[in-house]
Amino acid sequence: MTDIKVALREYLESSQPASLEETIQGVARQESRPIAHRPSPVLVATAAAVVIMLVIGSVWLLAAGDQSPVITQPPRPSSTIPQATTTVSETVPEPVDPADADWMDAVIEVVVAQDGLVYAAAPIGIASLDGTGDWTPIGIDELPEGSPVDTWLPGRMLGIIALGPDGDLWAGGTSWSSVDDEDFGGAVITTWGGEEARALTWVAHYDCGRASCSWQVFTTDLAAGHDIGDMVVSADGTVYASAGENMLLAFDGTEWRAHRVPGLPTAFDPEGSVWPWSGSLAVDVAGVVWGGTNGEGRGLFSFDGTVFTQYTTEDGLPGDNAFQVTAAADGTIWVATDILYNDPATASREAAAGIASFDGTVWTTYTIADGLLSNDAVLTASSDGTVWAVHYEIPPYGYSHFDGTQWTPYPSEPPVGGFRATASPDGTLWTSSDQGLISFDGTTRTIHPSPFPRT
Amino acid sequence: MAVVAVDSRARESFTTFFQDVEPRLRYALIAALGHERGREATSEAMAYAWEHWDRIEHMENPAGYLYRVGHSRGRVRWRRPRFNPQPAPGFPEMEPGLPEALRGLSENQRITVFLVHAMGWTRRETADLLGISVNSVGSHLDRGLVKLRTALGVRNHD
Repeated sequence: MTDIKVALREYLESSQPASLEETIQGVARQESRPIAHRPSPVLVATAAAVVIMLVIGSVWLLAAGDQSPVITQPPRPSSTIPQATTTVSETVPEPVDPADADWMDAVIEVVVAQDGLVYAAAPIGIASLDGTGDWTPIGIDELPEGSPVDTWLPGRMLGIIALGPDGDLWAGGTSWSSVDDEDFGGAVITTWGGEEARALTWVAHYDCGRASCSWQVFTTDLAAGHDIGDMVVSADGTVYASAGENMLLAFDGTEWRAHRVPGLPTAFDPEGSVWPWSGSLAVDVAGVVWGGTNGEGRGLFSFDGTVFTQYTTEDGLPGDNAFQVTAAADGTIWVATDILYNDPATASREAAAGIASFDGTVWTTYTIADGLLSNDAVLTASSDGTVWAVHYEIPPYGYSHFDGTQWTPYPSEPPVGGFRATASPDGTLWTSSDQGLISFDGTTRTIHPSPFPRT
Repeated sequence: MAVVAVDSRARESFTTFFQDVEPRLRYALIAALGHERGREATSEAMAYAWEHWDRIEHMENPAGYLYRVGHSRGRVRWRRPRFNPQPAPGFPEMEPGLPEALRGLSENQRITVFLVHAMGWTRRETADLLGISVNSVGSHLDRGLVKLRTALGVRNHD
């Protein structure tokens, strides 16, 4: 007979308490090691803004050049799963232990322009990578940045980038400042500690003329300090962003609107968590916005500008944790489902429910039975009509490629990337990770180390 | 020696705070994130508290604040951190169906089941830590218990 109460209590009480002395001494050690001290996010952000042009340039010169390491795989057999006897170039840097990776310099976002220029973004900066492997920093001084008293809140947290219909670059983020900073604007919010702060949500268009580029910044306080989960730009130029527990922000170039996604927790009351309801938006050829949901089994939403529609397993989705969505050029919607925890010891490639495509009428599910390397994946639709799946959280790691008829798996040693995935016009897959950018052209996996200075 | 006096007073007040809050914070973060990440998040949150003690000791709800600090440290914003149900190293034996059952609960359901049902916290204490209303705690708790009992095949209210 299961005694739930006892089992749960034993589960919690089996944990080792944190050590008071280690807590105090650990902070003291950090304070006495100015070189090794890891700054708080706000210090990272503010320091980066001040010295970024002076320091990062030299770092990038060292990190980039023609030194992008290449990891090669032998040509894959035509009819069997390729066995990755991966060789590692000596130029590959020592992988960063995830425990040592700092989220402020991890490459979170990646997009690829039509000319093949790759843009990468971390919470502290944006850079572009050209075909020769050279990184170029994108100045961000014009993006809003405050000086919050609460050092848990960064002065500026960037990290969302997207391409507009003309291939122009957009960025989005949230910035905070002290409540006394009236020039900063934004909404006055009360943090969980009971203190007041100012919060500003913004999107920015990177406007390039003949001689120079500058950011046009559009701010709103509608999101009241909640992070943006993802951002897309539709063909008519409207910018959509997911924020908070249930908000879909829309900016048409003139006016901001906040649409509330039905059936989700009420936003901006204390029910809200720090996690946006959706970390993955896509806009299809008809202008319909699609949003995956961030855990909690809420399925998938679409928004046609007026009405939200929710899709769940009852409608044909393989799973209700439909966390990621991408729209193909032919109008097909592709959805990845997720597991609720990431534990390689117990999770398996069968753990997630698989991938689904939607042609507007019928959902079609794909799993390992259809050739996928794993049911747990991040997806991107390529402009050539094919689809890539990146398997980065649960072994076996690697990629799967859908040519319109069948899936071909490409097992690989980690890292394979996977925070975000996108495909360049030539079909090369690009993924972001805490190791930097990773590209895979079907044969060669290349790691492009993060251009952002490790904090 | 004024500095020593200030440090001594701060250390004394932080020690009292640590002894009171650390277990509660650890239980809540383990309920949210699992043992490994929950304990790590607790350590980071308490280190943050000591580093910023002059400000945090005057907060209305420092435990709730530190819960958010621990919960969101190291976040990659577009993915909610997921619960890892594996028990602490050396944990003798866990009910076989418990990991899967816990996995099926939402985060707030799992936390309220752990803290209120198993650990005997009041709904007010739990609400303050999570920054949600007492009514919401009750709602999450009721739904979480139903899910958990169903998943474990338990019919009695134990």
